Amino acid sequence: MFELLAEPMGYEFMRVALLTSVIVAVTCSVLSSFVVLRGWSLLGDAVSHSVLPGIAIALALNIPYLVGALLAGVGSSALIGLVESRARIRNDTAIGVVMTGAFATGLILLSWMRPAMDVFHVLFGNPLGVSPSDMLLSAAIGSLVVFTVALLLKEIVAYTFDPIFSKVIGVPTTILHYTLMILLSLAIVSALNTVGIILVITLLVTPGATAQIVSRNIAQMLGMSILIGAVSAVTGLYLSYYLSISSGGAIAGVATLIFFGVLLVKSLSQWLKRDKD
Amino acid sequence: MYAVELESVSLRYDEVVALRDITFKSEAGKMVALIGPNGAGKTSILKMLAGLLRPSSGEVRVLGRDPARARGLITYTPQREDVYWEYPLTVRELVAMGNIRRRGLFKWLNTRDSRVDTALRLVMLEDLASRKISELSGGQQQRAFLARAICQSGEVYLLDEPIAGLDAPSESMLLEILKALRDQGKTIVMATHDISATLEIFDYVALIRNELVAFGPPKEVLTSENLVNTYGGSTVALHLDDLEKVAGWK
Repeated sequence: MFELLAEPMGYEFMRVALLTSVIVAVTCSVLSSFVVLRGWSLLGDAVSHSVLPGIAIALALNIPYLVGALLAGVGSSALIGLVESRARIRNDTAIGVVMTGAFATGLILLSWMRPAMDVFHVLFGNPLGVSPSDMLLSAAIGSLVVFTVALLLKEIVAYTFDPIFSKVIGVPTTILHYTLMILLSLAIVSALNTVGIILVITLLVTPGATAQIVSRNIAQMLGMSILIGAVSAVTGLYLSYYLSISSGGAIAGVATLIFFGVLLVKSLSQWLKRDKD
Repeated sequence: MYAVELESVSLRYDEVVALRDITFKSEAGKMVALIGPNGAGKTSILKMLAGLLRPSSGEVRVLGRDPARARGLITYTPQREDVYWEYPLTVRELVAMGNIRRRGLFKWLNTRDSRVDTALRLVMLEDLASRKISELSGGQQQRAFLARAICQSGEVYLLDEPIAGLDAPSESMLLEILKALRDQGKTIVMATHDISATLEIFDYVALIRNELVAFGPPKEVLTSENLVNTYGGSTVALHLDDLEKVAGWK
């Protein structure tokens, strides 16, 4: 058993991949609880898809792709709000329009410009190709996300539970909303190399959703979510090594399996309890 | 100085006029019921008093100032359906949200604050303090909301349909708590559909149908003519029935 665990760690690329995957999974899992509780799963998906044109434009202008991705992520959430209020359509419809439009724009720009960056890796991730500098960037983003959430935890909880009450008592809800959108965009950028734009939503939704099934309070939910994210990253990466399968896909797949496993156990325990009563 | 004051207030959403020329005021330590059909503008009035909406014209004042400048003095309780009750919070944590302004950054909600205990005691939820909010009944959830407002130590309580969907004992318990708050000098402004509930304990009733149909003490305002003007003919018979039973007017 020890050998099975130790063998992949003999390679530097695997050590970097493992560390980066865990950092990214923890970063996304911290936000995952709030994405789930505020009902932002679709919004998270939209922001992740909207990052693509930002990256393409940044590459064209020769500026760091992080800046382009960040502006596109935050801009897309603002655009969704604007489309919803101006066109008087439902939120999910506005998200659908902006998400697909932004993603299409990104694909067109990238196919037209043919940059050095591998589009397949941006879409589906490739943790085995992560460089130490990418790892440091993910660690910096992860630290910023964790620090900000810790700093504003009670305000974020109040806002995601009851935004109207929060506004009345003087919580700056608009600033808080866009702070969360910035953190979401940053988390997505940090996940580009590991799970990619398409699968990052798994790490932004599934750990939080799984944790909610078994948590009694928000502290438990945050802790469980982080644990599930980290376990998914480690298990997924080992599976990808031994089964020669897509690393991003394996990480997302493990997270999904844990969700259904927890749901099954919870349902069975409720059924047994009811049967006993 | 009045606790709440609306003067010639109108509110438009693009081309739609939600409220037209509303004027009423109430002294502190009174209970005011906003009554009207769905879409009459009751929630809009509450949101203007809370500083969440700006009137298109006219003036709204709370305790003599612009609502935005009276933030710490206003508590707002939204409709129960407006929040996600599966949120993993205990009753104590929900109530402690009321003292959020008194806590600095990096600090979690102060669930051990004596205000939290007092608020829980006042709404009779001490025994359920550690329970998840999703495990409460509708009436208990509404009392937990009220405890959060009490913990906030505001002067003006704005409540959006707090008794909607509650059974009779829960409704009566909630109204008793509101009455106790009024007796302590707090001002209560509550949107409701329940006319009979307002008769005995409310000081003022505002009948709203996108404009002010009538404002004053319940017995003066709740006439058949005013109710017809507020609700239309078909629903009024039922309400008049309730009035007769509760107030014994006829």
